[in-house]
Amino acid sequence: MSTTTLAAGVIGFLLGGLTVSIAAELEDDPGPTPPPSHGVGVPGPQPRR
Amino acid sequence: MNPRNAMAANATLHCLTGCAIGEILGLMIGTAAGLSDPATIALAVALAFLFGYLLSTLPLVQAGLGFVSALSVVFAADTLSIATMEVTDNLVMALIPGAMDGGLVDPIFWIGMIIALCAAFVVAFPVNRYLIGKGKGHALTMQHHDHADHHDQH
Repeated sequence: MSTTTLAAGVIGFLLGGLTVSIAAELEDDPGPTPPPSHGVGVPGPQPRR
Repeated sequence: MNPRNAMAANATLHCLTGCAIGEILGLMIGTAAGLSDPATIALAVALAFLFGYLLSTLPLVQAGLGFVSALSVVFAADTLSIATMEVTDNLVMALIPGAMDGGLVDPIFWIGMIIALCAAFVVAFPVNRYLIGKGKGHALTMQHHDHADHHDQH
């Protein structure tokens, strides 16, 4: 087997690993967080004393 | 391209391929097994030398040289080149934040490997060029390939 073939195999393996890891990362990513609904979860104004 | 540069590039690529196979395997095993950084680097270096020598020895054995003779030629020719690559490769991997700790599913591991191997090529190329200029390094293994070719022609 020639060096060029082996080198191509190594490059392919590295790029394959990179692709799979990026795909795994995207799958784990829950995506962009939705903007908070108006008034929900936001504490209201505190009464002045 | 200058013939010496072409020969040095070929020698560096040849060395780098063996190193890369061992290095990737070592880092993969080390990170997957959760070994410490020094243990992972030690494993990667050991496998890189093993595969580096093996990849150069096998063609010489196929060319008719005895295994021990082939190994001694390769040992003299490739040790400095492989050592240069290993130092550069592991240094770059250690310097890239998160490359050693990320694990196989982290893209930074693979990006780090690609950058480290490219850096290893750039650093090892002038070393191989110098050795070839002195009639050492890959020039030694090429002599044995030439001898084998002459034997084939007779």
